[in-house]
Amino acid sequence: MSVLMIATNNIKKAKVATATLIILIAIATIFLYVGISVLANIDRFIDQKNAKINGAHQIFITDGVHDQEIQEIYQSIPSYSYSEREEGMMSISSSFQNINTGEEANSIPAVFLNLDTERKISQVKIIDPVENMPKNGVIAPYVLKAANGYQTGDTLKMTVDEVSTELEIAGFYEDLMFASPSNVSMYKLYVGDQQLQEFLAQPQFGSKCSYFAVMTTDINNTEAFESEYVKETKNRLPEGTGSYVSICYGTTKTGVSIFINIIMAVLVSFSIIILAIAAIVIKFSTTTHIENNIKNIGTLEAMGYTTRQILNSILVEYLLMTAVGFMVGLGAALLISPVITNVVSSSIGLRWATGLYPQAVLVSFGVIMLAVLGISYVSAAKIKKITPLTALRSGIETHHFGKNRIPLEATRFNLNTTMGFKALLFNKRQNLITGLIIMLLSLVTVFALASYYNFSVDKTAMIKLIGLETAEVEVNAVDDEKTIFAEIAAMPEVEDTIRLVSFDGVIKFKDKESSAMTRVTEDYSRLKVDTCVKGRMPVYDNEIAITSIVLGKLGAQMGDTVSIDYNGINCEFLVVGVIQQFNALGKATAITTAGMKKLLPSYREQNLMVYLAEGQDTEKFITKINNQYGSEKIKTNSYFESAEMMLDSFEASIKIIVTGCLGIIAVIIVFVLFLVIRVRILRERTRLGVSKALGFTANQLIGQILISQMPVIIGAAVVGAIAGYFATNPLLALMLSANGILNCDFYVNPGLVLFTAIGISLLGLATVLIVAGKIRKISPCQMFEEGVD
Amino acid sequence: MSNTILKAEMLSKTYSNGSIMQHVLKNLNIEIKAGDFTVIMGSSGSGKSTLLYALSGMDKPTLGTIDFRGEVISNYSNDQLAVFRRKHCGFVFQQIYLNDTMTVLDNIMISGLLVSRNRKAVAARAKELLQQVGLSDVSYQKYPSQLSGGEAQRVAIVRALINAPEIVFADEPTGALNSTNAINVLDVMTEVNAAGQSIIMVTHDIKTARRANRILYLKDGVIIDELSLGTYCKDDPDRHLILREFLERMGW
Repeated sequence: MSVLMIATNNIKKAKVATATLIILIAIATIFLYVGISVLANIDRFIDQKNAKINGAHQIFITDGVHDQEIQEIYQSIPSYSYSEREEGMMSISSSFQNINTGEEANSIPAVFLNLDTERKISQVKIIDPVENMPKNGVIAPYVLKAANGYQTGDTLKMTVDEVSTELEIAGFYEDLMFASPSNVSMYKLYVGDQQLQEFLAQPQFGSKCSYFAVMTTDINNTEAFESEYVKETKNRLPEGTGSYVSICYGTTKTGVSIFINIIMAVLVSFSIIILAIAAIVIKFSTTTHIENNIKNIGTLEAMGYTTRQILNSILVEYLLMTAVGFMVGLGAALLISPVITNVVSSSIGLRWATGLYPQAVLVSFGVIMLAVLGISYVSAAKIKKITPLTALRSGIETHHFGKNRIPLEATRFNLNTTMGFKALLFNKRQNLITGLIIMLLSLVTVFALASYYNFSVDKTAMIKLIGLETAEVEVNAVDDEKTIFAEIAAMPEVEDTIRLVSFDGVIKFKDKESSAMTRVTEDYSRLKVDTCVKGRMPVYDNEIAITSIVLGKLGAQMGDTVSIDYNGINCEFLVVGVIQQFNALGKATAITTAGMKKLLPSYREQNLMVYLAEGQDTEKFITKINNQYGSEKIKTNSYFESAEMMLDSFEASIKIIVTGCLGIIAVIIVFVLFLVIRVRILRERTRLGVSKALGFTANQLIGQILISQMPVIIGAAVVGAIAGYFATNPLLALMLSANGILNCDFYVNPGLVLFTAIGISLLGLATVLIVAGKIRKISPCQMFEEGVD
Repeated sequence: MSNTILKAEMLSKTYSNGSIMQHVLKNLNIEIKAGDFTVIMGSSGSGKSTLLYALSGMDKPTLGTIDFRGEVISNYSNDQLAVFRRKHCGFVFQQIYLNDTMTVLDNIMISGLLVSRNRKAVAARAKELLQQVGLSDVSYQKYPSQLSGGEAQRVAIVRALINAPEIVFADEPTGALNSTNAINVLDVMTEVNAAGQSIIMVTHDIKTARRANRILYLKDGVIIDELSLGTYCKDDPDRHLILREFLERMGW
């Protein structure tokens, strides 16, 4: 008999354990392969996509007043290569609604460009084009198709204040720079020449703008290019020059891939958890296999097989199972590739195609094979110590000499409860492992549900994490801001107003510098969202709070003095606090209005955050103030709604991932308990058989098993859920630490904790009940003579 | 008034494995009287253990009826059979089958508490029976793996007797014991029978069979003959001879 024959024979004998392990390996393979393939290829994929359309390295959208100077500034930067400028329409207060999908109107700024313009940079390659371009046809970003389910032919209703028009989606385009609203927060839409001219002729829809697309000689250094540009424009152009947007390839690429990288990292972590569970299953299966086949092992040894050969047969057995499980998992990963494609595409806004990636296949196969063979070797190594004689005499029986903790003579519990507790104590090692698995899965469930709740149901905590204020409306006054802002603050719909301005600054420390979104307000204690995680927010004019990302980049820490360059003036600030935000890739600082006035004595607070009273309609309020002051005096946008909309694009991905994770958790709980109970029934078949012979009914024996598992399952589910309640925010902070997030404030609804504990307990106990029910069909003599397999 | 305690009529048991049918018991008729010490003998595969398990309600017959004190138990549900076993039967097995994870006292009480909720009474009876079979106080809190084979089997007998069953079923109770331990166990069984409890025992051993007052010989699932030996007397020289002759006649 060869080693391979022994291995295949063992597999045939342990069909259920084999199937369980193959399924666990398959699930681990799906997660690991998908995670690795996306993580390893996303960067190259984005680069290739950008190269295909000769995507811009830098985009500036301005009001067109200083085009000449702006061109001179970026052309003077050494890494400048070539550029294109075109005219478009910038609509700041626009909102869009897809009538066909029945969605609510989303407030989001938009820039309209001429589809008929010849361009070398960021060429428009239309996806799903309409046969004949209608006059009101619009080419929309692909993310709307992937994340929001938009289709060619759908009607997009654009409303600016109270004026609206309908556009027909005539196709989609891919462009990294406007791929996802996650960090751009505006749409780039292409319309025909005639439509654009009509828009420009109607100022109520927006104002004319200049759109600059710039190519540099070094695509990997676009952030430095942007910093230089920002610095020069601050120095050379007067304050308040109408710059709508300035984005670079590097920042956008990082921003676009952050979310999907987090999701994929979660998938890889999840696959590691499943592998850990598979390891426990292997340990159980191997021990049971050796115990059940000890006489066969003795016979083989007596025949002349070495323990090495028998050990090898076990390793070959697991090798075959791993290979099959891996192939099944890989096949399943390819089968579900449309789902993965949708998750990735809706997150990055580009058409991702999940395929077969040989490197990812090799890495995931290597990781899984090493893990499985390692644990099976360790579990089966005790065979080496068994001689043929001890094996033939069933020599590895373990004797029990422990203290009788629940003597039947003294206990107050009824017989079945006592027997259940006795079994609980006797199987403590197995119960500990089962409990750990359930606890871990319970924790992950609370984490997944809380993530879903905060991403999709109540986005407030997520918006805080991004670092945005919870103001419903943002108003930017061109002139006479003191009067306008005072009038707005006095309006009955308004609960509170805070003047808060942001600008792109350059922060220096010693010989290092970093760009950062700098926030300016008079009194930070009035803000509704506290982003300070260490120290305090600035109070005096020489104080600054900085994110850990910027501090890390500068090599500075709290107590150091950094400087800000602005319009040729350099001012020093003492770092008094560390702030955090997801927005602007975590690169941000905060100074006071007084501090800003040191940099720019003529500084005016032209931006107002408006917090509406409970029950007020944001759209109605915006229309009211737009009508009152006119678009030439103020620019408004639905601030909170825009932020919510940005998160909406992730909602579909989060939903798929959370649903998938919960499904897999349920499957794992069922499998693990199935295996635990099955192994236990097999191990205890004689005891169960004798118990039946003595007069215990099947229900009593099932009840004993249920009682012995109940504290483990319920206890672990409750502890895990409570741990999830406390660990969700630290875990999230750990996952987002690379983005400078040190503290998270996700709302973990106690109801979710209760739901998880009850749900997992019920699922676990139901599984135990069903599996243990197998005892019912078997007559006692059969049980202790043949087992229950 | 009949003193028949257990009666089987046209008892058949067939096992099927796919298309292969194995008829282990074929239309057996047996009557067991109260106080009988019945031994079932026969060659390997003759159906001895199957008959024992069928009579005790551990396994259901394929055909035929079994009644206990006039009540048909062969159509009982599994749960009803469990209740029947706990109240009326005691079991002693060749492999002893004590629960390794429980002490001697708990091994006995687990059976006793199925019938009585009075812990103190059950514990007292268990201790009394343990004394009777020659096991001292020190053994109560021992685990089965700390006992000799003979001691363990005596514990198993006490477990079988704890509920004062009308019938004790024993499947080769001395098969795994050395000769001294086997004699000790048989002495206990004989005492039990002398106290009025019926015993149905399967054995291969002529010395064990000698203790019975009735021998049934099974061949290919059929009782081909039976021998009545009368009450056991240790010093009866003819008993062994009669039994040997009977077995030789049976082709033993």
